[in-house]
Amino acid sequence: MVPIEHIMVFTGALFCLGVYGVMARRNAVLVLMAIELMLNAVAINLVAFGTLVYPGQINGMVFAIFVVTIAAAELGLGLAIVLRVYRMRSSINVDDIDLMRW
Amino acid sequence: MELSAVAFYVVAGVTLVAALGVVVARSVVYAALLLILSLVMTGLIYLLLLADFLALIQILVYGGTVSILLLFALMLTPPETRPELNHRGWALGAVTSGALFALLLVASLADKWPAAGAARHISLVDLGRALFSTWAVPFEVASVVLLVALLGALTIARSTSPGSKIARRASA
Amino acid sequence: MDYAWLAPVLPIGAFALNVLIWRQMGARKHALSALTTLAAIGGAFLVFLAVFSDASAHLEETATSSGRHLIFEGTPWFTVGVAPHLYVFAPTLVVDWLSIMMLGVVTFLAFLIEFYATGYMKGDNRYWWFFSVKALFTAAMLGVVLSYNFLLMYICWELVGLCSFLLIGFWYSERANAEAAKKAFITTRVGDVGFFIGLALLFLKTGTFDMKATFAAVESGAIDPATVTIAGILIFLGAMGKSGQFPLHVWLPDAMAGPTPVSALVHSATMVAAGVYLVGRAYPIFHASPTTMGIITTVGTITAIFAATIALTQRDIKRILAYSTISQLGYMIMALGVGAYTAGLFHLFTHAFFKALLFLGAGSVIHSMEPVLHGTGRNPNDIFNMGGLRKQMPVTFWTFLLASLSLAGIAPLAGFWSKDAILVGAYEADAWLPLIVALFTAFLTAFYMFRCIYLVFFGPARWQVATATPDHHDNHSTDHASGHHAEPHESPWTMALPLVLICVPAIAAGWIGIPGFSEAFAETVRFGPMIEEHINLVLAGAGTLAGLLGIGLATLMYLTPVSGPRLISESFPAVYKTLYNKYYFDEMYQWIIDHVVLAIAAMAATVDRKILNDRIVDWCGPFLQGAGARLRLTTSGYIYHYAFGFIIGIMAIGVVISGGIPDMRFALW
Repeated sequence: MVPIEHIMVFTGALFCLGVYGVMARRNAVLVLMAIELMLNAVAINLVAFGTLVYPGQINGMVFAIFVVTIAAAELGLGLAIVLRVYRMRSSINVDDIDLMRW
Repeated sequence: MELSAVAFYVVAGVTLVAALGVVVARSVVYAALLLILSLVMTGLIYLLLLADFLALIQILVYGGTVSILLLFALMLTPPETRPELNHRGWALGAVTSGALFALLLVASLADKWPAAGAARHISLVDLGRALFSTWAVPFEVASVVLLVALLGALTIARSTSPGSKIARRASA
Repeated sequence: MDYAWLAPVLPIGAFALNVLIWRQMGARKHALSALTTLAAIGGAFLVFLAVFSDASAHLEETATSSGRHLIFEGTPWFTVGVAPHLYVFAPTLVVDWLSIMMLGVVTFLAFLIEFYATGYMKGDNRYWWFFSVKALFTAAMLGVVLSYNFLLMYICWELVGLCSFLLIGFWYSERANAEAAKKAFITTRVGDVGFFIGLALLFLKTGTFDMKATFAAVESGAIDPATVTIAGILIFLGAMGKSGQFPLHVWLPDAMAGPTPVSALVHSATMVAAGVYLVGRAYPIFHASPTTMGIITTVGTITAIFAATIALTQRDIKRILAYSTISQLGYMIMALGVGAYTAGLFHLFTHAFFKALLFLGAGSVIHSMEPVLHGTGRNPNDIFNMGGLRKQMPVTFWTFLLASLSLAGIAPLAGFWSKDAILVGAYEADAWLPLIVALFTAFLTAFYMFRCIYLVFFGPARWQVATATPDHHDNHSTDHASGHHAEPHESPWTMALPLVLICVPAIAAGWIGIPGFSEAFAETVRFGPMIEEHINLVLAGAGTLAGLLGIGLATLMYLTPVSGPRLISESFPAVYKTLYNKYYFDEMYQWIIDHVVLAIAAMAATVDRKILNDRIVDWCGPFLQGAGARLRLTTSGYIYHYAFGFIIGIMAIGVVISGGIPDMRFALW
């Protein structure tokens, strides 16, 4: 299998793409998608360390399972919020959701 | 180079390209489809890392449920209300994520990490045993989180009755 | 004897019961709290009796000087300091003859005076509160007496001060009483600050508040002599404040504003004795430094003569007794200063009884004068409004006379023996000036006490003349409701009985210290080896003669209404006015407060208002408002702004904890 550094570079790149997506996109659904990318990057990293660096240790996988669980919950809530915002303001542009601005 | 390594580089490359597509695609639907591709590829990576159960979950949860959820969300929000895809913050986003990537690159390559040992497959039985013994409490807490998220999503997404506080504010 | 801790715990339990439970009981709370307090103090007296009989069986171990006292370590309360210099504070109690003696004096007198107060305070609508505070006071005083740890003693010491404040200001609706309470509290606080600094200094050097360890350190020379001297003087300041020594005496006469049972217990027999007791308890610290001993002698001597001269001219019966108390306390302090340890504490012992008796007698007189002078606007405390009372109040008269004779040092009453012991002590220490002053003070003491007796109990009934109006003369039944024409009468039995009972020790308390005959006191309460005492007939004769001379002069001047006193006061108006105005000490302190303290305070106020307030405090608000007005712009409502800050922050934290900056890693880990 590949050295751990390569996997880290890969997951790092995936995470940074997610960051870019969150910062650059205006559509709330797209922002949520970018967040999914970031979560995946982290989960891959956990599994890779668990399997490659500490073979036989189960913790990495368990953590990844929790990450998937939380991601599912987060996405469900996030989409619910998006729908609600859309119904209230007829827009899913995150720039329009600025009631708590100065 | 052994076969699994070649497979990893190929899959990782596809994942990255798909992820890039997600964040730059002009069409929302394309972005969603590319995200599904990226998530399925992630499942393949889990398989290469000998985490077959996790790969299964990944494809079931992400490839199935999450994608469908996203597509439904897109369908419920009509296309004419969709904003322009990118806004003026994109340059700052590029710079920030670039800097973060540079930092992660330095961190990953500069330090000496422990050499990768021989990957060992973990049986589903062991995983199940660990989840319900060592990790029993976090597991139960996670289930409660899911339940709360479910109820919360229901409450938030429910249609507002006219005259309620939220509806009044929306019409204002 | 390990039940001695019960003595302070019983009254404090009574206090808790009174203020927590009986307080809720409506009208019954008065009777209940009086009964509880009496029972608790009676219990404390029983504890004393038990301790006394136990200690009598172990005379040698419990002698004050032996260092083998019975000491109880309580449960530790708290720990301070860092590892090698830990100090564990545990309340430590001591039972030696010094504390046993005080235990007896305090519980015996407190019980009888409490009993007396049930009659004296009858009808007061805060009756229950009076007894509650008295219970707390007794507990605190017993705490001072028993504690063998300076910190514990200081805690009880301050509690005593607090109770004194509450009791002096008991009738606080009159402004003068509230002022007196405040004055007592603040004046003693001046001394207490010194006491506290002294304790802190000793703690700094020894690392402990434990008295045994501190005394051992002082005696072994582990602390340098200069520190011992300074600490000793500072601690003595505390004793000066509580015992009303010159120049911190000004609060004690004013403290007579409290009810008379308070004056009797707190300001003659026990609380003011705390200062003398402190000197006796911490004697190793004072004894180690000749300078401190010199200061103690000087302060005591000045106080003795100074207060006695003021007492000559006072008109208020309680003030006369107050100055007499100050003077006698000066006597004791002087004796301790010249090294006559046993004599000083012996006088403390005997004085407590006859002075309490005098105060209770005075209270009895005032109690009967109040209805007589009610409504005339004349002061029922003024001895020039009394006269001829011996017929109406025989019990009060005879007990008062006995106590006065004892105070004047007439053999074989208690005061004679202790006063003689002090004279002998001064003589043997070659302290001539204190000796002469002591003799002269004895003369003055006898004089002013008998001036008081003649004016109160003999001569014409001036109260009658005062109240007689042409219309209602001889018509005692009219206007009875307001009591204008009431006759003075003997006090109720609850007040008379304690008078008679205290009479016994006022006569006999001195008999345990007769040189060459019964030396129980000298054997037990001593510092260093026991000194064989012997009667010095010259000194005994001189002391008695001084007393008799004083009585004789008073008889000449006051028994028959002659113009002698007026003649003297008119021929030396300056002297008379100075004495009558107590050497203008109050005026001097007032001047210092007005012109020094208030001037400094005004300066501090200016600095506070103009610089701190106008410049710094007023600047804070606009600064924060401005900062907020600018900083709120960062809350832009754009997700990418927030994400930017978030990511940058994560990066910074990652750099720091991953060791990007080595020093930072050190700081965090």
